[in-house]
Amino acid sequence: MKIKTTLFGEIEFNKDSIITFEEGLIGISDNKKFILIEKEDFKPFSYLQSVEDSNFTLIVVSPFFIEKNYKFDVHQDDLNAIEIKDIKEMLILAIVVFSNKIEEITVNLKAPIIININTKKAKQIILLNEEYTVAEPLVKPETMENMNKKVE
Amino acid sequence: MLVLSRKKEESIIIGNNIEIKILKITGNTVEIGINAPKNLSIYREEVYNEIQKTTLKATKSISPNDIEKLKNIFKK
Repeated sequence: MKIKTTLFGEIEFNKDSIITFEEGLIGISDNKKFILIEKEDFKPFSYLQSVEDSNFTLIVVSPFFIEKNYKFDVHQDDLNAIEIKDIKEMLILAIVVFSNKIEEITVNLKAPIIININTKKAKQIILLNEEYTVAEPLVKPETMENMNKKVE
Repeated sequence: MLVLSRKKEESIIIGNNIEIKILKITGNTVEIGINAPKNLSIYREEVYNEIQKTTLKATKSISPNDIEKLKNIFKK
């Protein structure tokens, strides 16, 4: 299958790779089918591209990349919704809000996306634990300082 | 909007399978119990709005030029 995307031009993908959000994302129910675009030179980021809307692209990153000890308490109903029986079946991704200034790039650690890698069912969930917000900095201020020192 | 008055312990029924019950009223806070099918997601409105807004902002935050910048962020 092929789609024309705004960011990547024409993309060819396998029908089996389509990830389905039965309810859509939270508050955005009109896009339900996505593909995950992973490119070696974009790591650690990847892209969730809607196959229904060529303009709808999200940058995503593993929350564990941002927060090594990322804590996620998920409601059992959310796991059941995408048929997760074993934690190994689950891929967790967080949505990135990009900015031209690195220090202003944020990541939504409060409402990550969970994907069942076998069934390709997915859901955006809200964590039961409350330590994260929808806009956590991609790079922590202290890391930022170190990065600047390196540049100098 | 349909407006109904309810007392403590009273419910309203939506469709055939959703029950919303007033459990407790303390000052200006109302505790509500909801019985609904497990496949229905239930959110606090302000949280729902905040997440929706963040995702829409995320989809609008990236242009083709930005991809190049993003590639360089974590390049060693």
